[in-house]
Amino acid sequence: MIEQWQAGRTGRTGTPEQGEVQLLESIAQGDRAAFQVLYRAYFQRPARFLDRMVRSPTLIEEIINDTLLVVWQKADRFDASCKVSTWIFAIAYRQGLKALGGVDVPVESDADALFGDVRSEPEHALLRLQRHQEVERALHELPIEQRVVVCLSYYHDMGYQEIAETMGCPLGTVKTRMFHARQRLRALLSDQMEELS
Amino acid sequence: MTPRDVTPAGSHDEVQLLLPGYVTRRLTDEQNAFVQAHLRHCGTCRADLHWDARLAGAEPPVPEQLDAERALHKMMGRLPPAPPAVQPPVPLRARLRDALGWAPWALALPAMLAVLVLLRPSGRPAGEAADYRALANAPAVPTHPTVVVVFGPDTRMRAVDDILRANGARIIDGPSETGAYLLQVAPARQDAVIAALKSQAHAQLAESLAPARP
Repeated sequence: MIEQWQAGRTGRTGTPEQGEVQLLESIAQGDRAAFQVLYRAYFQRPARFLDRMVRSPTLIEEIINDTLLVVWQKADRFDASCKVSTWIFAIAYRQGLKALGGVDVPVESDADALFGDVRSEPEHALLRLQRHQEVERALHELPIEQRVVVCLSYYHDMGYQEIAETMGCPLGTVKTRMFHARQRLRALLSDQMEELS
Repeated sequence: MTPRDVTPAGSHDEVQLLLPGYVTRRLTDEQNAFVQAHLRHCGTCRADLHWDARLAGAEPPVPEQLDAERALHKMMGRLPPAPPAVQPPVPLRARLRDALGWAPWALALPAMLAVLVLLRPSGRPAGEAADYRALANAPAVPTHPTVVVVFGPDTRMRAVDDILRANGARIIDGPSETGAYLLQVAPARQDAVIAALKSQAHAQLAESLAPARP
């Protein structure tokens, strides 16, 4: 999607990061078409991330829109000191915390509502769904800062330095959070992980 | 000699932190080599590697109710309205025309033609200065206006330029206060230039200044 926009605009394609930077430059000029390209390209990633922070699809969409509104308003301030994805995720993280009121309220996720009636699923799909349910519950046992570190590392291809930039905290803090998160998750998921093999 | 199953505590803790990156293939070649060397000797980390790989593969799915297009539609409604397009500056001629209208021009045409005819040099001694204003860089060869033209609101100056160049014609004076230009056109090309200015360049007026043949 971004490559197509880039090729149409410049006649050639560059790296994905270059394309995203060019999109932001166009958005800074008020280019609404470029904004829509970025929005569609980015919707799923923040959605997956925010789903670990809040469990309401409606709220997730609102937070994504709050995030992209900030992108629209501050695109001219992006200075390429970090990746575009890091910048957007950092905004999404702060918007997510704002939506939570700065407090990590335990959310009782209704697994049946989320995953539907699993009884009719074929066995392998049933196993996969159960695995996802267990991981979901275990992640939400973690404090939100540890949960965010785990999700950004395992599910969003971020290294610790990038996570530190996203969360606005020191690198050592990220590593400490990961250390404690893995300990806690191992205790919560040890039995379930055996079943996954 | 260091027992094979004993690894320095520092490297064990480092490898533990590298395992998530290892299973998601984010590490550098150097880091990969470091982890692999450690795994050869550490059963605990090998077991944890198993666990990390399964955790990485078990991301809970995104709720199906999420709709990117619906959210985008709401998003576009939140953007501030687009600013009005900046209009290009209106040429002075057009602004004067709008202010004065074309009716006064049409009424003034006969009088204007009469004035221009009076200005046309006839039997004047060579070298005597013409009554009309000379251009700053007057050519060495005396110029004699042969066509008067008044451009209209739809006149395309590029077409005027093309017509003049194609016929060896020149603008030698103007615009006057009434917006008239004087052209020098070879007699043999005069009719063609006048016709082209009217049809192709949409001139409001294009007339020969030559006296009518008896």
